[in-house]
Amino acid sequence: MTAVPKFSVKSHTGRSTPAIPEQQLVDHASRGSAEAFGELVRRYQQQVRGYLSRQIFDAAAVDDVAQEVFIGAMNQVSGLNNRQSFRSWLMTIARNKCIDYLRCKARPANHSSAQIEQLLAAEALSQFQRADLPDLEQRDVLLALQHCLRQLPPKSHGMLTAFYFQNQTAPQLAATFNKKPGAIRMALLRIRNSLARCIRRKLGRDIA
Amino acid sequence: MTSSELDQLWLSFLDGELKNEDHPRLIQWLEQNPEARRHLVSERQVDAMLQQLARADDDPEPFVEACVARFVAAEISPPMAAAAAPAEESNRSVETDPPAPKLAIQLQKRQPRVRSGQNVWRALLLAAAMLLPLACLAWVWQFMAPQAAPVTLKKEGAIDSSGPARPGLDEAFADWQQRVNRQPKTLTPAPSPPKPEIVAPPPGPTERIAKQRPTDEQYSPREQHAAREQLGAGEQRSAEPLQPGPDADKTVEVVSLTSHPSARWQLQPSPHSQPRRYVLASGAAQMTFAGGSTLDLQGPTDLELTSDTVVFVAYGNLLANIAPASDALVVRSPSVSLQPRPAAEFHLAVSRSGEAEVFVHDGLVQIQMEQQRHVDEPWVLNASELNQAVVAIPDHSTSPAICMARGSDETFRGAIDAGGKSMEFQSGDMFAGVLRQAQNAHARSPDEFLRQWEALLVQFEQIMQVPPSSKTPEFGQDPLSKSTFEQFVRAIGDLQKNMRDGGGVGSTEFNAEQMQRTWSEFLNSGMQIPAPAAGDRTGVANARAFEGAINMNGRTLRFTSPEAFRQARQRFNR
Repeated sequence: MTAVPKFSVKSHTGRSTPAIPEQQLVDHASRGSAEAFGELVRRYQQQVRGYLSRQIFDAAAVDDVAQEVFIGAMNQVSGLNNRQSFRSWLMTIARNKCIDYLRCKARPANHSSAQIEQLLAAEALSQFQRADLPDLEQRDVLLALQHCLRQLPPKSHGMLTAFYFQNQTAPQLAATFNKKPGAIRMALLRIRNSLARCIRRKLGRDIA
Repeated sequence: MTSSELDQLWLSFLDGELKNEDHPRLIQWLEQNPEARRHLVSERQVDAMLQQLARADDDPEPFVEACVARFVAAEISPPMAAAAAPAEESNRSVETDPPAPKLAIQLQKRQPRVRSGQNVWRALLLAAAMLLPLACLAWVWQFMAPQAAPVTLKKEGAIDSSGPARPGLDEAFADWQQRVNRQPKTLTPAPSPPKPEIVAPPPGPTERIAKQRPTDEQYSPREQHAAREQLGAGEQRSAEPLQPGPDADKTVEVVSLTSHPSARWQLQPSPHSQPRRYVLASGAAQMTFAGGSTLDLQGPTDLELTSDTVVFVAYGNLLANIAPASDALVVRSPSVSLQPRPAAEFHLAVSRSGEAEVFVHDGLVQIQMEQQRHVDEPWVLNASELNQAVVAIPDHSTSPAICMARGSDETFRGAIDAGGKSMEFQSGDMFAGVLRQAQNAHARSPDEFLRQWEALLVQFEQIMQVPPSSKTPEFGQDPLSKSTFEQFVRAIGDLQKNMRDGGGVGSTEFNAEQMQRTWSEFLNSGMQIPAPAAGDRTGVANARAFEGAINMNGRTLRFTSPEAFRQARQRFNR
């Protein structure tokens, strides 16, 4: 039996070196190599979690579903004929897992807050099921977001950057911008709405 | 509602500050406005994408390590992982994509692959690593045991049955457990209802129930906090009268709650709190209503008293015993609404996903699907004929919901509901055939399925000439099998067209008996649609002589020739 190599090569940011071919990793992982599996996870976790986070609005749930995606992929790997297409196959599994999650969330609820979540989950699921295969579109959505961020007025851009990328809270921003925290939250909401409209225009369809 | 108002409500909702009176407003607005739903979903998507971008440079190692740990655990103990896999995995719809990952099944399939030498050694090493701490603990325990109290090791939640024997009570509870957990397949005379003495369950069933007890992660922080408070305050509460509302001046006892000592409450409201929601994590309890009706609860059960006479069961098991002279009690679940008549006794089991099973032991229970809104006469289950029912709710709003009821004498009633429109069946085969094809059609395209479903119902109504107020045409005992949903729709359309060509359906005198005969012939012929023949009013082989009639201002004109009939209709239409 071929010895399973160690796959401990990674950079400071956690990204692995591309030295080991994907097919080899998949082969070894399918034979039970935890190192190879870990390297595959390291390589694709950002794409999978990024994709899931567009539909699942709970960060903890995103990680749970992402774990299921990778574990599920390994347990189905014998059914993968062309191992070169592991990535797109992985993203399709992510799509299926995401649909499962949204279906579960979209079930009728008996509490009013849960009813609102249920309505939105049903809408997200509906949009999601109309969407194309995930690996073909994800890059487009991110590019569209990047483009739309650049189109924002400087003040809005600054507020958004401070909130999301510099971890400032609404009260902190309120002090900076001389507004009430509620006004800051509303301003952020409207910026997100304008970004959503911009992305939709750019893509010619919904984000899902 | 303007966009600005919607944003304001939405922001309040996100901040957890939405007022109670605004909840229904927002829900109604979202239900009626797809564009509003789209708007809010897009906003959340952008928020999630921005958060993800912000986390892009986070260290992925904790996530990778968590995945690897699960991977290793799955490699070593597939059956355990399979047992822990979510139930939804087995219910995946038909997908055209690569095979959907079914963790449970695949892990079991993978089990034989642990044959490579390396994996076997890895498994042995890890098993040894897991056993080593246990061995150490056992070694330490043998020195500590003499100083410790004489206790026996048992699983969490198990009841120590080493106390004095309580034969009568144990048997009563075992009988109750059996009736709650396992519905009899054959109709038997309803035994006397179990009395409210709730006693220590025998070790077997209790241990099984304790395993089913939900973990804290399945509850919200609010529920967990309440549960900690409840559990900290003690497990037993006996016969505590609950008040109908916060108005202390009107103290009217509507229900009392009796908990068995084994009952573990995840959530139990104070007497004045609204809504009155109870989450029984395990064990047993009994609710007694003012009129004498009782609900015996078995954990895990989550229910809410939405009013003095309405109980909503989110999930769980209960045995209802309605007093002969009690007021109307309504028991609702996500999928079904039950209105038992006085002196009825029934068992209701509701799964966490909302499916409900009902078994009537005694009396009459009116049953209605929550999704089924256009029903003239709700079904009535009774202990002697139609005594058990299963109601399943859809995954989301466009999926077909089903309700099946059976009796011990093979009586069957079934209903399929989609988009608020229902079809009823009295043939199990026909029900199963239509349901299977409906589900397949839905899996392919929910929107297209709804369109087909509505078209099918419209055509059925036209063919069967049912009154416009009724949405539930029935088709007797005619079997339907080996048909696809699309073929079904197409065949009905063809049949209708042929009958039109034959001059039948447009006639006001084309009666239901003839139509039922046509329908039977159509089904018996394997749904073959013969070409229309001139003078053949129904389009089926054994055509009869033409008879047509037009009623105008109370006068009926009769025709024996289709040509004369068509000409007359054209004249009148002009």
